[in-house]
Amino acid sequence: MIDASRPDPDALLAGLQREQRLSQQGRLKIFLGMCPGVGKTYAMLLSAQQQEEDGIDIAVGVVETHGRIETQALTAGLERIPLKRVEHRGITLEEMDIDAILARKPDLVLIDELAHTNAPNSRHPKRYQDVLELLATGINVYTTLNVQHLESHRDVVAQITGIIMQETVPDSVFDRANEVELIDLTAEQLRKRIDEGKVYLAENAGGAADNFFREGNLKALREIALRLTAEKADRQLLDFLKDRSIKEPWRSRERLLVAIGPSPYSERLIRWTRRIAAATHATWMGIYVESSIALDEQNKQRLSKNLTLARSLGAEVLMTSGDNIAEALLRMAKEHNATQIVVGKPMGNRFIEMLRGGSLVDRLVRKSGEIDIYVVRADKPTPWRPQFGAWSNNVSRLGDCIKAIAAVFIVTLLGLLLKPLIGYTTVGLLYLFSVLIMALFLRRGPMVLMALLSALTWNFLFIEPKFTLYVSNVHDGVLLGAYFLVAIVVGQLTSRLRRREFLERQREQQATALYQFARELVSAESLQTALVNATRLIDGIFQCRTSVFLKAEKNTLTPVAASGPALDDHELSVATWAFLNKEAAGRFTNTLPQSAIFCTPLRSRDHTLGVVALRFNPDVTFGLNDQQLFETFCAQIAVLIERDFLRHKATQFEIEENSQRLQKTLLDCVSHELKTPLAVITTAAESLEKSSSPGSLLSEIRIAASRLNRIVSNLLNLARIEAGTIKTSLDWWDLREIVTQVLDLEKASLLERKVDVEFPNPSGPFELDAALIEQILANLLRNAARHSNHQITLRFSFEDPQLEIRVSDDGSGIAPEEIAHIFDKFYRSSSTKTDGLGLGLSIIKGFAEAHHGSVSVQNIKPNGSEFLVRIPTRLSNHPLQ
Amino acid sequence: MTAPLSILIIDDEPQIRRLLRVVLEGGEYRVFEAEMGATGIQEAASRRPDLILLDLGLPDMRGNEVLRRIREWSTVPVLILSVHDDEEDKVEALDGGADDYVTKPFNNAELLARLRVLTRRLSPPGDDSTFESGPLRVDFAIRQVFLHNREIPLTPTEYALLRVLVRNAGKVVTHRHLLTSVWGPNSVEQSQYLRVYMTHLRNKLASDGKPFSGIHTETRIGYRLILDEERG
Repeated sequence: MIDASRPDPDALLAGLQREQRLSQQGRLKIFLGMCPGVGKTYAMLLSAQQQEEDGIDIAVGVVETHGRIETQALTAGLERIPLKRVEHRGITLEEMDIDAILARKPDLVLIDELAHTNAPNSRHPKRYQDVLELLATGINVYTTLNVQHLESHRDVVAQITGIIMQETVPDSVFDRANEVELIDLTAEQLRKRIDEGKVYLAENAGGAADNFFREGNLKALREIALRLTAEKADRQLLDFLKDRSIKEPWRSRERLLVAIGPSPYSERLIRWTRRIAAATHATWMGIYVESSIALDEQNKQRLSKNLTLARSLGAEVLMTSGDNIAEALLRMAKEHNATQIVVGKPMGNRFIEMLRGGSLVDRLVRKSGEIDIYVVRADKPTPWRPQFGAWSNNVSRLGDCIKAIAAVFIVTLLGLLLKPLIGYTTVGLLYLFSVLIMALFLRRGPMVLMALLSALTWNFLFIEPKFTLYVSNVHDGVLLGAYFLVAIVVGQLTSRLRRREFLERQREQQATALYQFARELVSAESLQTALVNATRLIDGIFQCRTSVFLKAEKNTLTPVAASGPALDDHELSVATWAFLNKEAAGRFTNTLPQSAIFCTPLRSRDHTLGVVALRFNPDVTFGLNDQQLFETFCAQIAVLIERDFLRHKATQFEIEENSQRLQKTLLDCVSHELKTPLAVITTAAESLEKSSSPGSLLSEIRIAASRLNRIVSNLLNLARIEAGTIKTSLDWWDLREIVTQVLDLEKASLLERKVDVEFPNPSGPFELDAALIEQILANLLRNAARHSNHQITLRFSFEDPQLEIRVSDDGSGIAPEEIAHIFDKFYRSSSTKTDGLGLGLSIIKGFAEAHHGSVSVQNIKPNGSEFLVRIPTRLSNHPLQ
Repeated sequence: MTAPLSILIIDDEPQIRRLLRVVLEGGEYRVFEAEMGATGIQEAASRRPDLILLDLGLPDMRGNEVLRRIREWSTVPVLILSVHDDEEDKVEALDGGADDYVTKPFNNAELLARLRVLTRRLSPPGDDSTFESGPLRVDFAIRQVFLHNREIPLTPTEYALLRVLVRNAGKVVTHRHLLTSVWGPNSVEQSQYLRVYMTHLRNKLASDGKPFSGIHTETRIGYRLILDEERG
């Protein structure tokens, strides 16, 4: 049992995730009314005007003022996003332009009538889906809603008012709202408003509207609206407490499980569960138990509708398989910690249920243990039999029946022939034998027919008195009864076995398809071939035409493999939508369902890699099984694409690595070969110079050699910069230390210039590559020494996280037209007395960039130029005093 | 010093070897040569030289490998010769047991000075309870440091740092060596301590407003306490 005093970690985590998710999303505020005419739009506009005054960026997505002057006046000053005109069968409809809103991206958008159904061929069939998309991009939304449009209250409203609402909004959208404002009016006030003509009534409503606005109705609707708002407020408080882990009577840990089937009254069950779950703050889930009996088309569609309904009402929908529904439900309930199971009242035939070991409810109750069972009344007696009965689904084919009759006929003939030899009891065994044989080929229905028919024929033709259905002695009666029972049971058992076999075969086919798919993908030489193979296989399995798109630059799609005609612009936009929103779109989905294609994004763990689009013939269905199989295929394709991508990357990386290593080896080799003779020359000249007389040419050799050495070093440095083989090795350094070192080494090349050095306080330690900084400083100082007259200034300053090095001279400065080229390699200033190759400055630039820094130059007053090197770095936590 | 000290040069460049021979024989050393790493190891084993000059860029094996193989059985002082700008190799060699390094093109005087520091270790140890070089005097027995006969108050860490440098006077001491000797083996990444204390130490040893110039920074490698006889 859960310790009630301790916050549930799962709940805390869920709370955090919800907060995080919502923080990136826009906020939704719903202005809720009990019915039209209470002034929701007015209240929304009033609130928007206040927001506008506060400087919020507001746009009107769509607002219906119904020509009311007060309301119209409130829209003044608000920016309107023009409506989109949609042609549909010669009628021009005006719809909200979601793309325009997304492009405009205001802080807050006003969208009236959340329950509105969009014109055909719009992006989403329902306006609330548009709203969800806007929220997902971070736009805040104000919207209005009448309580009777709320999905879970549709039935209740229908009971009160007698009007069944066609336009509904899922409760999950209502739950998603960050704020709900109830626009409350008493029934009397509203009647008064209607009488004053202040309420817009659609022209075609007429009498129906009058009926709707009866005082009794209004009172009931008002109560629902009030209660809903109270529940919402209560839930928000609870969420608040949970998020803050505030101790409180830790409310229900109830979890409801509702069995969903293809029955039309399953819908009612789902709504009922949702209401109870909401009222008790419980979570809820819907379970569909897939049995071995294949559903017909009508049932499939109804099932899919019921599952969608459950999802849209906020249930977690799961599917499981098993022939014993009670066991399957209990298993799922235990696995998912459900505390209550909701099922419908049994409506099957009592006799059949007894044969099957009791009704579903009986069996559930018997084995449920700690789980409570709710049995909910079905208020629509329909001729439809519940799926649990399952008999009606087993529609037998006429052919099977004919076979059964023919078999009985043949055995009867045989019996008549052999009866004189074997006696009538043995004929009964012949019948039994034939039933056994036929059970291997026939379905359950024809089997029952055959058992019945053969029993009757046997009785009629062979058991005394003949040609009557009357049995004269007890012995024959028992025989006949036993025969009938055995025939039925054997038929049942055999056909169940066959069904199992069929299911096995179906699973095996799927497994084979998957295996084949995987093999084709893996064995293909390239991604392209693999994808072409994949489209071919998908075509074959799902009877469709397939196109595969991969992500290209900037979130666009490029087709890579297609077995059908190219997608038109509209279809491409479906594919793009699926790609960008990471959700399936097009036919069989809630987004753009009028489209001819079905698109699924190819998802890897953290990216969307592309889209697969399927084009079906108009009459084809794409069932749950198929969708699951197809999703598995898509997952495989995604893995393949990702693997290919990684392989590609790895190869590229390896090539780069190799070429870098080669370049480094080459450069090291060149360095060695050039520097060794120079070292010999320098050292030899030096040692000779000591023993020879002053002023000999040996010093010239030494100076020339050291100059050559510098040029070689510069060229090699440049080559290393170009090859990108310079790697920084960061360490902590005191700037004073580096500068002392540089000034020491460069003493000769500074030509007796005075160097003023200024350090920041503290002067370190900074995280730097000292060798690069030394090279930069040495080159800057050498350059400054060449251009200065007397004085060089070296100034360091640190503005976290940039270290700035400024070196200025007091020379004649740089000609403005040369500044742009001064860091180019081999660029030599035309006006100066430069020697060397003009590499020093480009090396400074290269080294600065290798250190992720930059370099720039400017002329300073009164004369001279200043080089500025910026290096990103950080100061140690143990700075120097 | 009765017999001249013997030196083994392991370098693949004949010109460098000839040059070194001239320089070293002028400095009263007996010189052997080896062209390859493998022959170098053999020569080192058979000739038992007093010093080894090892080039890091050998054609047959890495200089560091040669060093490792020699260090398996000998503590002979090894001086690294390198034309590479590759400090990592030098640091690896120094941490792997080499005693010091010179970078080509080298200065003759500098080379001979380095060798002298290394050979000093070979002579019998005298009284090493004090150390003196120029104005600096360290009395290990009483743990006191004097500059121009004035006592310099040092913190224990500063003293420990100076002591490591003094014990290796004239030789380069790598960052790793300093960090492990003063702060312990877990501090090899904490080079910022080293910078801070080195600066403090230099400032305390300053005279006439100038930081102490006797401790030399070898970029990316370490520090060297310069003996007075080398200076100027």
